[in-house]
Amino acid sequence: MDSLSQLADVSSYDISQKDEALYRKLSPINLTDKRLMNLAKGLAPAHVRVSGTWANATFFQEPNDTFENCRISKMNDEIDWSKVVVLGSFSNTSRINIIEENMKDSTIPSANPFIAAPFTVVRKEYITPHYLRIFLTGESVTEIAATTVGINNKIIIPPAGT
Amino acid sequence: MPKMNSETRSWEYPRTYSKPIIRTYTHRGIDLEKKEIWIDFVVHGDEGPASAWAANSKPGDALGVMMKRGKKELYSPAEH
Repeated sequence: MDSLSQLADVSSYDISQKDEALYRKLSPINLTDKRLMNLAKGLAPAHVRVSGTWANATFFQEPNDTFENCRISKMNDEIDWSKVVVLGSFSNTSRINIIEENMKDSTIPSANPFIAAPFTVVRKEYITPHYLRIFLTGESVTEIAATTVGINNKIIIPPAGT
Repeated sequence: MPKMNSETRSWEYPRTYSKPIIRTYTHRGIDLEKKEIWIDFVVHGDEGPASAWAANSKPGDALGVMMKRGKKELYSPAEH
């Protein structure tokens, strides 16, 4: 099985099963494929997502593990999705197969579409007697930098007594 | 903080007794050097949870922020 050409060949693949001319079922790719590993290493530090949608359960492959023995983990528990490089998305399986490589930073946007992070109050500034600007700091300021100033967010106010 | 359930694609909140209050606001600015964002509040008394929190908050108090990633056009450019 030529996994890499399958990865690259998106033009002949359509997730719409209604169009049989376009639909082609792909069996799970071999995550120990040498060329795929070389590609992952070339892109490292990165995670490479090769299948499924981000919302599904996530399968990691341990070094020297077989595809069938992939360790199952859940999104957000073990992956920093802000550092995931998505190479391709093939929704013919209900699973995500991920090759784990040493990774640091990536400029590719996250596969997780949401930011949810704690902040702490730094200082307050009354612009008018009833118009209060609150300055907050937190690790996710850099993530928020990639959004638009003025866009809606949700603030999570801790319940009283906590 | 609520957690995203990857299977149901919905936010899971802590149990009711410790459930936080969620309100919609916006960050009005960001300073990457100071590692700060700021959110503006109208202070209109203690009956509203966000107003009350803002008025009574002190440095070091916690506030969670959730939002979608990515850039988004706030409004389309006018044609004239």
